[in-house]
Amino acid sequence: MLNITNLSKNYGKKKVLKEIELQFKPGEISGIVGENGAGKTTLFKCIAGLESHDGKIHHPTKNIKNRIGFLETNPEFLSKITGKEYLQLLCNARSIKNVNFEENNIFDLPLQQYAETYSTGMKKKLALTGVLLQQNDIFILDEPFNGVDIYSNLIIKKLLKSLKEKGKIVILSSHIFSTLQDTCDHLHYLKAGKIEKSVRKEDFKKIEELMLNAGLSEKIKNFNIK
Amino acid sequence: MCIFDFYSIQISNVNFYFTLQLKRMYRHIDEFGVIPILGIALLIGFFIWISEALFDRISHASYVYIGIGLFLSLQLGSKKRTTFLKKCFSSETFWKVRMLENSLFVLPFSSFLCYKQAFLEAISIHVLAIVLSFWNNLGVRSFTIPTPFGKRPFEFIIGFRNTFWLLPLLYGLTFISISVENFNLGIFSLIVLFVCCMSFYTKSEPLFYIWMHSKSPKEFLAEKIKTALLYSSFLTLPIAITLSIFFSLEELQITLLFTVLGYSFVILTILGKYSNYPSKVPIMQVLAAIVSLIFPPLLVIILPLFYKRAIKNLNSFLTC
Repeated sequence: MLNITNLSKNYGKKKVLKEIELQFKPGEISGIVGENGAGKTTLFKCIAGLESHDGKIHHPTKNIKNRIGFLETNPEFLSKITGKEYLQLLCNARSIKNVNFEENNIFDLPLQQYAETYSTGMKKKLALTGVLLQQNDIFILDEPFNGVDIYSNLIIKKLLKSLKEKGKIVILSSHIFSTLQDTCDHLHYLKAGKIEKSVRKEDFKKIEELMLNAGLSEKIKNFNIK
Repeated sequence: MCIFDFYSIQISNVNFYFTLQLKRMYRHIDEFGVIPILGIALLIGFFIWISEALFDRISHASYVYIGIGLFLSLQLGSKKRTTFLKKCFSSETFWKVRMLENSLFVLPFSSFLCYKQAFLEAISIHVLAIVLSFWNNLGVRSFTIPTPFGKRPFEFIIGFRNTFWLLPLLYGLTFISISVENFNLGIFSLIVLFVCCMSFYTKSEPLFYIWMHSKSPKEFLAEKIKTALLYSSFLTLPIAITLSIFFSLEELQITLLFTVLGYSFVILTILGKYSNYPSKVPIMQVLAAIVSLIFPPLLVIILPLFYKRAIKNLNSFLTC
């Protein structure tokens, strides 16, 4: 179980995350929703150990940071390295040996090409392949469905299902409610850095309604192009 | 045996990363149109030449040299880069990699300091580089740095925000040059500031930032050059004027010469960038720029040549 207690994050005087309390169980997929700028990516980075923060993140495994895979919204790669070299680097960094990269190329990516020349969707797929190859226990996926084609979307959904079956912890974000409905067991609504509501699968509609009622419907109604 | 295995694994992880970095360097040089081995030899030669020139002309050059080495090594600590490394490596290996890469980066500087028999400074640069490896948030600020260049985007706005801390340092050096009557130190500050302005124009912007202008290539370039000259004057003139006031007439002529040369090289950088956009500047053009650095009158030929090429190249992005 991954326990997050009293997690807060400030950027200068600006409070980005406020006393977050969350629990993530193995074999469950949790979704984080919220408007742009609500703090989803910052929360993910804090859990992944990429950002400093106040509060506690606890997992029974010692050095859990080394068992977390993080997929960024817009993955970036070093210039002049091929897709294969990127995957090799990730595997080497975690001392994972004898990996057949061609066999594990689930998205049929041109691995001999420089990663920087990949399209947005291909970059995301390469980063996801890397995260999967690293044999992590916790998967943090920031908008994994964004920018990838329909076929890959279906593969990602299948992958998530298999990670769940293997008892991994999966935390993801998306703005598409239908996708969240298909994949997640729990949903947490993050509003201005605070967890406003957490619900189980059967109550996902409540969060959608909550988001619309939180002034969104009014905003849309009043929206005017000058 | 177990401990041995653990360390051998750690070393092989780090080894792979540094081998990959070497490969990347080879590929960058190769893309530049030079045989990698020859490119490295040229780089070493250029480094030695620049270092010798610095030590010949400036008193207490070893301190300036340490400053330059550390400033350059600091760039390895950019947030983007270190986030990538953190995602790849375990936390222990990450720190090892960062310390090692910073230390390796300043190795040419410490080697040259050893050659100059400044052994204490050579050790210091390594120690300080290792200390700097703990600074991994370069380029991230939670506040917006105000800039006097807001009216004309975007090179000086970005450049100023990245290098604003260098300005008090260089103005301070100018002040020291006056108080100790060391004209070369003042000129050094002026040159560094012009190099800094040139560096604002070395990175290619996305094509959209050119395409969006409703200007002809001539108008586009004229606007870029006008902005560069105006804003670089804003930064460099305080030093140039101060040196002119406090030093002799002969030194005023040198200051004037370096100011004109500085402006010319800022223009050359802009023209070089757009004459090859979106590709990098090819080796022949870089060589031409280096030759004109050694023999500045050549600029009279090279500047119009670069200008013509830039106009021709920009035609495809700005003319429908």
